[in-house]
Amino acid sequence: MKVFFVFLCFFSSVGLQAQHKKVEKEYPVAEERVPENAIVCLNYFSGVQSGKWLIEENETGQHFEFKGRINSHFTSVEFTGEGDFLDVEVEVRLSEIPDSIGIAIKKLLDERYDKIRIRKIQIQYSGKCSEVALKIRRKGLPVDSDTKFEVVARVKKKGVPTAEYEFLFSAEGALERCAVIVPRNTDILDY
Amino acid sequence: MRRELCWILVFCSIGFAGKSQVTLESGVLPVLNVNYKVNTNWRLNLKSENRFAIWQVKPTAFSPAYELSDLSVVVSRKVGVTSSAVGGYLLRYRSGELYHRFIVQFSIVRKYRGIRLGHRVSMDHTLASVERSVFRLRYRLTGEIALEGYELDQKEWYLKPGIEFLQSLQAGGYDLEGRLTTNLGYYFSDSNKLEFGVDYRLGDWLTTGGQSQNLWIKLEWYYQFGKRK
Repeated sequence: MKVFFVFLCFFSSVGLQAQHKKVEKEYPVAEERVPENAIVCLNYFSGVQSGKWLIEENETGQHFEFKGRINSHFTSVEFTGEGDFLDVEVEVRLSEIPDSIGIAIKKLLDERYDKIRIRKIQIQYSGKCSEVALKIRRKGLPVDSDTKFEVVARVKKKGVPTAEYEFLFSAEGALERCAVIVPRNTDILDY
Repeated sequence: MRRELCWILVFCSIGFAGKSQVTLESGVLPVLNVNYKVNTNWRLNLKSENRFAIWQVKPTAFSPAYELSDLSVVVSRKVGVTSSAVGGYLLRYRSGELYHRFIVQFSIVRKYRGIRLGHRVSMDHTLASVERSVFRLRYRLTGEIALEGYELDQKEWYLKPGIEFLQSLQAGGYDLEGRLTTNLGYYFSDSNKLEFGVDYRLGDWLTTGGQSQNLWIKLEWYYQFGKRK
């Protein structure tokens, strides 16, 4: 999930405390510049329909990332600057995640906010590249203890301005992290 | 795919203008767009636009001349995460006359993968001593396409194609105008952007069958100061 500025807010009951600011930048890179081990890892993934290699720079350094369509899902495969596999994020619909987790996520957000609109859900897999590749090859994306769910939702709460948040849920549907997404300036589209 | 779409829009806008059989006026349109962020919800926008005609086709003439100046001040109130309601005033100076325009608008920005789309609905009322009042209703759709990666980041280029339809009512006469724009922008930072592009306008659709056409070369600088977030 790419955000321009993110204020991390590890939730208290109020839960809107800004802790730090993250700035990311990504740009395309030729496959020749991508480390060999990252290319080898991507070859484990079958069903790569389209996509491109990117370099992502943030305060922690430089990462390589493959973003594209794999098995009909928009997928992002992330690697370290040395080409070591980090994780995979697969964009899915709410109906594609197990019912029990979907219900737990919805229930938690409903309890916390007056109105929610889920805009994006990503399943995150980490571990060994070949094993993760095997997981997302299966029909019906599996969930194990390492799986995480990243949810972007627009939420409304009485007394607080409507905002967009990025939530990270565990495989059991427990909220692990939350960050408010500050949208970029819209002046060039408004005036 | 996004890049192909961009090129199609660029060629369409140029080709459309080139096909003209009627009067086509062209020139430059430097614009300064300054925003002041008062707080999270309120913004003040100051816009200065000058029009210099350079070339006229049919009759062909190289006739550089200053045409007009616009100065507008609008106040914007955020009404959603990416939507705002705006009200303001524009003062136009043209051929020694002053025109007063009162503006209200609503805009909303939708974000998709690699592109942001801005919808703007606007109404204005123009008053001048030399002509009858004009009421206009306009809709504009503008895209912001990141040319590097899926997100627009600092120090990157973007493309901003746009299309706008205007309806106007003056002294009981109703008319339409269409505008097509394609700008190439550079995103220095969230508060500093520079754009360069073409702005093609096809006016008087109903009264003259679209014989009034303009092709402006536009240079626009967006700058924001004030409270960051």
